[in-house]
Amino acid sequence: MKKWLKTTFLLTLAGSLLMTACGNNNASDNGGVTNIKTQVINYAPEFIGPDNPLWQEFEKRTNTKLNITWLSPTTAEDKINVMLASGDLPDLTYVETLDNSQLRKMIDQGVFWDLTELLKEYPNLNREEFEVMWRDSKINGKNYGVPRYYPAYGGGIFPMFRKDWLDKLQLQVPANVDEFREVLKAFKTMDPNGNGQADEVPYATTPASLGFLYNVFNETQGSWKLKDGKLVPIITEDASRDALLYIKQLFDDGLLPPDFAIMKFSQVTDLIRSGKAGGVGYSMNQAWIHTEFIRKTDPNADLIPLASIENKAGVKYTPSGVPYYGVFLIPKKVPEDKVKKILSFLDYGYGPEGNTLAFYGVKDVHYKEDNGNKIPTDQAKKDMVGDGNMASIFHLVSDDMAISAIGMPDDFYKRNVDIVTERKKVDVPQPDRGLFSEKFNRYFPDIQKKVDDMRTKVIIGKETIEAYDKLIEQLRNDAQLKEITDEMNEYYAKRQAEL
Amino acid sequence: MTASNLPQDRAMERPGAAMEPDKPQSKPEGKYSLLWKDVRRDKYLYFLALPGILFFIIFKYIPITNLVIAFQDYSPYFGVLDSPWVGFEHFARFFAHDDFYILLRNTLGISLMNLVFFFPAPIILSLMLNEVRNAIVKRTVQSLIYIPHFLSWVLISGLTFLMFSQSEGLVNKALVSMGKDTFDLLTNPDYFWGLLTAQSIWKEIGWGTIIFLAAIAGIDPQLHEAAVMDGAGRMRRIWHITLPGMRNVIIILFILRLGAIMDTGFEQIYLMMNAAVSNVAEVFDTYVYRIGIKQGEFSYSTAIGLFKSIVGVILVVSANKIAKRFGQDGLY
Repeated sequence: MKKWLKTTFLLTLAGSLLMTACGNNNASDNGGVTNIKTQVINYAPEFIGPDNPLWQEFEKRTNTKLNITWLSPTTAEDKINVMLASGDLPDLTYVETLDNSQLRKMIDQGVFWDLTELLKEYPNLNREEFEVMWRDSKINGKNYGVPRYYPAYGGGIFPMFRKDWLDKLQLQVPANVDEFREVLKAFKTMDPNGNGQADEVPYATTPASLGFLYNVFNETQGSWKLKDGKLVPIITEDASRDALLYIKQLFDDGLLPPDFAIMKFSQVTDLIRSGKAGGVGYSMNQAWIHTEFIRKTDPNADLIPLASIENKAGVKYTPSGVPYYGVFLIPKKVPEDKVKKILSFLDYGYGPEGNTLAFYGVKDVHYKEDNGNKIPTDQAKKDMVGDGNMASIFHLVSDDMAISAIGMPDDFYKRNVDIVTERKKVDVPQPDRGLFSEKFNRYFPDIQKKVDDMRTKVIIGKETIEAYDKLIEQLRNDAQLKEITDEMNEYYAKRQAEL
Repeated sequence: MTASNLPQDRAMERPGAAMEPDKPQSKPEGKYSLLWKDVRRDKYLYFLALPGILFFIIFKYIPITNLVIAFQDYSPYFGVLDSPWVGFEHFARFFAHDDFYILLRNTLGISLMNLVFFFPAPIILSLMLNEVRNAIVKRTVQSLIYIPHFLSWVLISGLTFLMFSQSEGLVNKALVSMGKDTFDLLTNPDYFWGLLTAQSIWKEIGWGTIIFLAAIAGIDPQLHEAAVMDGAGRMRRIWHITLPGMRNVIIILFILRLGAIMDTGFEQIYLMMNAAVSNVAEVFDTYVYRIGIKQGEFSYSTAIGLFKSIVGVILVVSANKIAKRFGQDGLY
C-alpha cells in the first residue's frame, strides 16, 4: 500500500517537473521566434483567438508567437490595477494612462525599461505624426513606454445632432450654448419625428456625458484652468456654477431624460438608437455607427457632430486630447535583445504594411482596392477585421481612427473630414496636460465625486443651489484641495521652466 | 466508511502495531500523539477531507498572512516582504477621514435593516409553509420561491429599474394612467435602505426557508400530537413547539449574521447606487472598491478590510458568549 502510494507520488512529482521543464523550453526563444506576451484593451464586440487568420498573419510576418489577453473596456481599469499590484507583468504591459500613482511608483523604482535611446533605431516609431506623442508621454524627460497613437482631434464626448430633424424644423446646427438649448426645446415641442406625440427625448445623456459643458463655460480642458499664471481647479470656479445652472435649466425644461441621474452609458446608446433622441455625445466616428442603426427604422436619419460650441462670452470650445490613447511598457525582467525584438514588432505594426494589415487585413482577402478606397469583403466580417482586435494593438495612424468607421458612406466621411478640419482650428488650452501629482491622484477623485454627486442632486432638484454653494465654499477652504493645488502648481512651474 | 471496510482497515494496522511491541503502554500520551493516533486510525476519512483542508489552507489561511500589507506602504515591486512598514498610518487616515462616520452609519444601518426585517422573514415563511396541509401546493410554492435566489444582482437591479424608473417604469406608467404623479423611488435617499432590504427579501426569502424547514422536520411529531390532545390550537403549537424546536438553528444563524454585519453585499449596493443616493449608499465595501481597486491603494483598503473583519470577529465571539450564558448551544 505504502509502496504504491510512494510510486504514485514520485510519478506525479516527476511528471510535474517534466511539464515545468517543457514550459520553460517553450518560453525561451525557439528557432528565432520571439514569444510576446501582452494584454490590451479591445473595443471589438467579439474577441479573436490565436486561430484567427489575421493573428497568424502577424505572427508569420513578424516572426513572433503572440500570447494576447484582451481586456474588455468595462473591466480594463480594474484588471490593469490588479495586474500592477500583483507585479506579474507581461512582456508588453499595456496601461490606460500614465497618470496612475501605482505605475509612477513602479517607474521610479525602475521596474520598466527606459526606451529613450533604444527607440531611435526604429524608423516607423519615429514617423512625423508621432512627434507630439513622444514629447507628451515623457516622464522626467524620458520615454518609458510606447504610446498607442490616437488622433488629437475627433475623439472625446461632444454633441452630435439629428440633422434630419434640424432640417425638418428648418434649424441650423447650434453654434453656441443658447442655440443649443433652443434646438433642444424645438425637438421637445415641435414633434420632429412626426408621430403626433411629444415622446422625443431632446438630448440623451448621463450626468457624466454633460461634463464637457463645465469645460465650455470655463474655457479650458481638463480639471484645471490658468488664472494669473496659476492653476486653479475648475470645480470651485463661478463658471462651473453657471454651467450647473444651465444644465439644471435643461433638465427642468424636460430636455434631458427624466431618469438622467440613474442612466448608464449603454442606456444612452439604446436611447439614441431607438430613434427617440435628437442629440447625444460621442466621438465623431460613432456618428455613423449610430446613424446606421437608426436608419433601420428611419431611413432618413443622419447624425451630425458639432464642430465647436461657443459659451456666452463667445469663446469657442472643442475637445482635443493628447495624441495617444494608452501606453505599452516593457518590464526590466525582459532581456535587452528581446526588448529590441518587441520594439521591431511594434515598429512593423506602425509601418505602412503592418498598419494596413492591422486595420484592413490582408489585401484581396479582407479588402479590395478600388480607386484608392479599401472595400471590405465578406471574409473581413468573418475574420473580425476592423475596429478592435488586432487594430487595438496598432492603432491606424490617421485621423480616420477617430472620424471614420467601417461602412461609412463617402459623403458622410467627407463631412466628418470637414468637421474635424474645423475643429483643428480651435485650440482650447489644457494646462494640466502631462502633469502628474501624487496628491492629485490620491485625493482629487474623492473630491470630484462629492462635487459630481452634489451637481447631479441640484440638477434633479434633490438639493438646492444653496447647498451646492455651501459645499463649494467649504472646498475653497479645504486643506486637502489646497495641498493638491500647491503641488500641481509646483509641477506646473517646474515644467514651464523646462520648456 | 461502510461497515464492511472496517475489518480490512484494522487488519492493515496490525503489522505496524506489532513492530513496536516493547513500547510501554502506561506512558501518558500527549495531546499530539492522541491526535496522531486519531489521524492514523481514520486515515481514509482524513484523506477524503484532504481536498477541503487544502482548499482552506491555500485559499483562506495563506492569504491571511498577506494582511500585513495593511501596516505597510505596499508596492508590488518590493512585494509583501520588502515593502516599507508604516505602522498604523492607514488606520489613522481612515478613522480621521471625513466620510468615516457616514460609511459606518450606512453600513450599520443597512445591516440592521437586514437583521430586523430580512432575517425573520424566512422564519415566518417556513412556519407558514409548515402549516400548509396540501402537499402539492406546498411543494409548488417552495420550488417557485427558490427561483429568485438564482437570479444575479445585475438582473434584479435591471428588473427594479424596469419597474420603478420614472420614464419607462411599469409602476410609474400605471400611476400616470390613473392620473397620479410619478413616484420617485430610485433617486430618493429616504427609501434607499428600505429598497435594498425589500430586494434582499424578494431574492433570498425562499432560499432561506430551506434550513428552517429542515429544522422543523426534525421536531418530534409526538410533541404535536400530545399538544393536540391537550387542546392546543395552531398558534399555541407554533409558539410552544415549532419555534422552540427551531431555536438552536435560529440562534446559530443569527450569530453568523452578526459576524457579517460589516458586509453589506457589494454587488447589490454598487448596482443600485447613483449620485442622488450616494450619501446613504456608500458603505465600506463600495469605498474599498473605489479606493482600493480603482485608485490602486491596496494597503489602505486592506486596512479597512482588516478593521471590518476584527469588528466581525468581536461580534461573533461576544454573541456566542451571550448565547451560552443564556443556556443555549452556541456556535462552538
